[in-house]
Amino acid sequence: MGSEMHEDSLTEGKGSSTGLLRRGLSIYYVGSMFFVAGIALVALGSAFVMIFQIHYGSEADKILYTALFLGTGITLILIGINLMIKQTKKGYYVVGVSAFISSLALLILATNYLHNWYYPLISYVLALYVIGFLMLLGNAFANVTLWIIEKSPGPMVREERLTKTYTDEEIQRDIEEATRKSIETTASGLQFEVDDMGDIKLGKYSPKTCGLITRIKDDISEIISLKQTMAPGATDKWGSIGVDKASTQLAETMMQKKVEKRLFEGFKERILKRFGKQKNN
Amino acid sequence: MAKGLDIGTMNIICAEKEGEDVVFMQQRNAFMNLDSSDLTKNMLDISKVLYIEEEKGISLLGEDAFKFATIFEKEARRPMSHGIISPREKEAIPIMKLIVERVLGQPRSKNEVLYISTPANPVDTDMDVLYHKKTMEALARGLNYDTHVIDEGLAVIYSELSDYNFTGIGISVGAGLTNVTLAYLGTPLMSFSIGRGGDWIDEQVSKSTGLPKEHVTHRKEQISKLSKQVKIGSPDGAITIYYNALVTYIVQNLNKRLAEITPPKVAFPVVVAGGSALPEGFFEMFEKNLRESKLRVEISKIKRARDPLYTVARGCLIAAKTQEEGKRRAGPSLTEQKVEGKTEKKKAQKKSK
Repeated sequence: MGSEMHEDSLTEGKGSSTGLLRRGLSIYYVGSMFFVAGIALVALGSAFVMIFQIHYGSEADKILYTALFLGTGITLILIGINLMIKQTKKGYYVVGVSAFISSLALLILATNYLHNWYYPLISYVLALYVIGFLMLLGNAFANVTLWIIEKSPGPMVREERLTKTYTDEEIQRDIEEATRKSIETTASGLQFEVDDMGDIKLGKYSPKTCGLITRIKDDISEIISLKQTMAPGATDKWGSIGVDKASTQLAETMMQKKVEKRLFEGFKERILKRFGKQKNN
Repeated sequence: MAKGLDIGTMNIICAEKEGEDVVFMQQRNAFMNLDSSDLTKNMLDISKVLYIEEEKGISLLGEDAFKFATIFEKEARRPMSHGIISPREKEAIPIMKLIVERVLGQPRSKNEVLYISTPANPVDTDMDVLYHKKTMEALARGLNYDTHVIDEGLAVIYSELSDYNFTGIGISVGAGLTNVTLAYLGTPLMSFSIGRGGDWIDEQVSKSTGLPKEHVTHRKEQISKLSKQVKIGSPDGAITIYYNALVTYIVQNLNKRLAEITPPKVAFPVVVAGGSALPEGFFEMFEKNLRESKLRVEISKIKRARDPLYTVARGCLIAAKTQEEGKRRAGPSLTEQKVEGKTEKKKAQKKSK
């Protein structure tokens, strides 16, 4: 993992689309040192637990040192991991704040154990430490997830760019499509006005409506078959006129599709919003 | 109340519902210039002919223009060609507005819903329908209708394929263009038009036989059946030949376009409508050609629209009624091509509440 990170920092010169910052080599090495130190402290703490056989009735000093070694070790490991992975700007703040919270909790423990070690101070210290721990852990997880999201489509896109060749026909089609869209966008904003009739003068015979009139009794046979297809054996409870029924049927079909579309679009919008925000950061 | 308007190259047809009937008001989309004189005007007034007086002379409008052109062996001018406003006849837009006004009438209620048919972009000619679409919208909006547009092919599907949940292929063989739409559950997946229709047949027959185009059109509309046995010298044989060529051309283009999309794996019914699909024998010719072409989608049924000339207008009416229903339920618009903005829609919803 570490080597991959190293490569990333070398290959990507700028901040990424998900907001992850460029991480220099020095930060990576500092993070590694934190991580190693943390491992060592946790190992030491664990050794204390085994050597002194720590239990409820053990000496106060032994308990304190063991707890401090383990607590500091875990915090250092998490800080180290956080520094080794690429972070967003907010991520670095979170690391700082949570490291401070955890350290504060350990400091209070060190200064108050054993003489002032009573409720509610114990709860406060424990809560502070847990908050710091979870923040460090959560931040590392969130930034690794962002890194995975950012990385996964990368190679495919790059590969496609390298290998995909476009034919003249495809290029022409793309140009035409882009032009068509541009025309449509422009036209949709236009309001066409039709000029007045000007000098045109109507003849004496100028009825308000004129033309060949044809009346057709609406055929309802298709509506009956539609009803039988949709709900076999059902009785018709509403108007039996073909156009009415066909249009209502159409409205229902469209309504169904619209509802499905809205559900999907709502989900899509939420996803886009979230990623959009991160991008802005 | 709601209305549907089919603005075609040859005819402008309005559909609206009156009781249990659907009433279609039809007018030719044509005009013809005559020299102005008092005698002519008197004659036209007595004969109740719709005309307008201009500085240049008199222009007869609609069906009468067509009749007079046939009688005087003159050419009727057409505001539209190939399904859209003719670039050569842009001055005819006010005339077209007059015809649309006469066919459509005034709205019976405020913001009465109107759906107008427009062609899809053609695949075989370098032509864009957007200008036409916007102009037609403006014409209808000028008459205070809540105007929406719909593809001609989709209107055919709305009118004829309710039995199939509005899934299928709608083909409207008009005078200027042939429109094709493939829809799934009322949503168009593919829409295109072909720059050939009844006018193309007229032109080809006219070239082959030497007859004036208006005569060929007249004969084509009178022809009862596309027969294989025809008299020597009559245009009927040429009409049959070019009808067949047109059908082949439509089917080939449909197949080509189907190769560019991935339609759902269902059997699609096909419905054929349009003024140029009227002659007896056309449907059989179409069905045979379609069956033999091995189309890229499965065809469940091929049907002829009940009233091919009125199918598009009826489909527009169904869309308009649906929109009206949607307004009542504050539901969705059928198409994304709504003329009025969102604020208008909100206003309408408030009003309906």
